[in-house]
Amino acid sequence: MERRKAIQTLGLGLGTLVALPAWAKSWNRESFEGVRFENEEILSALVECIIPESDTPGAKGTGAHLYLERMVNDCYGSDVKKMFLAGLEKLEKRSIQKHNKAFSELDLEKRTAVFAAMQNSSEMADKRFFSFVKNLSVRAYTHSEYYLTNFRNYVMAPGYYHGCVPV
Amino acid sequence: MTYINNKAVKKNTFDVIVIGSGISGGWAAKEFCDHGLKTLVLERGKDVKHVVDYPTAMMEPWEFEHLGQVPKKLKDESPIASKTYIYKEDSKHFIVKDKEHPYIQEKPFDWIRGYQVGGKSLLWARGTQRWSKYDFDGPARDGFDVHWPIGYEDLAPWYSHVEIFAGISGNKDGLETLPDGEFLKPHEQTCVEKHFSQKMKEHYHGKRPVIIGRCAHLTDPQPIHYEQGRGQCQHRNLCQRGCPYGGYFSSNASTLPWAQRTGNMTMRPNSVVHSIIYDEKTGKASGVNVVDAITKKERKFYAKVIFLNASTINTNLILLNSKSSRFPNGIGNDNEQMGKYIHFHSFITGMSAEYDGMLDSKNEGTRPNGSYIPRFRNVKEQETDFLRGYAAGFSATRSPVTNSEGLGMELKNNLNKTEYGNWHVGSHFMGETVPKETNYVKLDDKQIDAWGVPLLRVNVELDDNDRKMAKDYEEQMTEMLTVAGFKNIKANRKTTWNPGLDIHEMGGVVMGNDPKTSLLNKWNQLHHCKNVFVTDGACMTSNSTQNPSLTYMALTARAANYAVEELKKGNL
Repeated sequence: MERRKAIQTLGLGLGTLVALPAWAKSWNRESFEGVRFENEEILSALVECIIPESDTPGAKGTGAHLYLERMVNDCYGSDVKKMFLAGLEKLEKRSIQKHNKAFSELDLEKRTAVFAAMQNSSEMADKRFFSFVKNLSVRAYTHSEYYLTNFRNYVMAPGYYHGCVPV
Repeated sequence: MTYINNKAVKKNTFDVIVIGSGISGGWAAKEFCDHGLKTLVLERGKDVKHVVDYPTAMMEPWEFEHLGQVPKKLKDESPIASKTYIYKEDSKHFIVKDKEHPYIQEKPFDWIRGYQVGGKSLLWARGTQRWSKYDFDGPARDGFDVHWPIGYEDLAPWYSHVEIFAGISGNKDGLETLPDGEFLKPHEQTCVEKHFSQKMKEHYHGKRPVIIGRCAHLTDPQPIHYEQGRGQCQHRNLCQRGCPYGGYFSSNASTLPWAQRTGNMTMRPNSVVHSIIYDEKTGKASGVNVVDAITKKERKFYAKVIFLNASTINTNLILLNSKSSRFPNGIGNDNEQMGKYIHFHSFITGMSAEYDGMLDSKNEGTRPNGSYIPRFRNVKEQETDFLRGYAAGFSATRSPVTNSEGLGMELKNNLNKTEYGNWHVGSHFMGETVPKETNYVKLDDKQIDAWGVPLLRVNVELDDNDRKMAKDYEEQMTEMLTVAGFKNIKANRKTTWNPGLDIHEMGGVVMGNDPKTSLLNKWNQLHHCKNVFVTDGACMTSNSTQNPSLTYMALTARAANYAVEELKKGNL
């Protein structure tokens, strides 16, 4: 029952997925409970393979996984939610098939390969999932305080404008 | 009972009632209060106090839950409002929900409304160019149905009056087509904008000037601005949130607090004006019927003079809904022309290009302004197969490129680089439309809104003249961008753009000398009810190619000062 609930919360309110694939039966995670951000583990594992943490923060450190879920919940229609859920399911399915482990339990290299395969998939839905997740993760990362103040010289009230300066 | 009623009437009586607190209503309030007149300002929306009611003004980009995007539920409630560029996560609270304020589109018209103290003066794009003699002369030269009753010389001193107080930045370019004003120091053009200006000067021998935009920003605040409590523009370019520095002109930052400090202004938010009360005995308007926006309770307020500054379409609605036995079709509407001749600016196209020169330079920071190409088509004589012409915005900027190639560390390294690509060149089209009787607004016969006001029916559309003009812009701009050496030049026609989305709707209660064809005289008074003045966009006889707000401000200040003189003489 917990597994079923996990998938349904991943469905972000869709709640119509009844036929669960066999691999999902071994899936049991406390972290999927809750009203919001219940999918933190799989989503943070996902965004981390898009922009990993190194000696500087990556997508997870700048909250991209929370942003991703919030956007799917608040800003898109049921078609996008469906596409998103199907994509996550596919990631899990492929991880189990190839490595017999949940997506979030794979090491970074294997996880990235599973996600990257979505881009090269022959199915449009997979490609769409790949760019959707990547674009939102990039958006979250490049709008973060860390990124804007370290790489984009952001200040709230600069007080100046120069039309022509050397690069 | 008589005693009590008289007392109630007295309490609700003012020298002047101003309907609407947006960019023109704020000016009416300021002028009347400065002259010591007790002024009631009626605003249909909520109160918005300068600084304290700008909830998003100091938020950092990463503090927005959806990083700027508006949640679907809100967009679904506002399918029309959400089309405008100004409807974002940081500004959506200043734009009304379509669902709460329905209207009937006989033809597609995207009506964008800002119901609050300050109105759309919080949201405007702040372009402020004077009209020239060629603009006022246009309708007569080209045989439009209604001609302007005033010329540039009538308005010039009032342009100066409002420019000094509002604070307009610009360069004295000495152009006949775009008279200079009382300018604060101009913004700087970027290297490539300067290059473009120079190339155009050489190629067209001065006939197609490209200048830095003139805009309502305090680039160099003067004592009069500090006195208003305003300070230097900080180049944040977040104007749509309301500016805590008062860096750009809005009613909230400038005219309304100024009027408030005189002690002569009573501001009444949540006051929906239903109609004007006409007194058959005196032959004048005596007051207004108001419905409380929240409680729906009806009230009456009285005054000697009434100024309509409710925004173009709502001003039309209020007047059309002000019916009496003398004026069965709406107050002042003897010729039945009220609501007709609605016109607007056409923004149906734009251009983009790149420049791979001057790559050793860039611009630094953001600028709440751009370069500007004043109208060069059909200015002194008819040159093309369409009437009138267009102005254009122009910008060339160079910001770091977001390189999102790759995945994992490769992507991260790409994103963390500060790299500059080519200069990005953009232009927007702003076309004059011809006022036509067939473009109209009127009241629905049966349906009413939540406040008992008949619903608007709107029937306004683009025509072949507008499309020919857009095509000419695309051709001329392609030539001009090519001359400047730009690459990858593209015309970007907007196929889903509807009138209204310009937020420059004008007309319906137009000025003119002839009471048979116009509704207002040269002082913005209804020909047939002289103590009712209309000085917002509804009064505009034609629209020319300048951004309209500066002209509304100047017309309002001029008419208000005239009304003060007439009151002194006992003529109103």
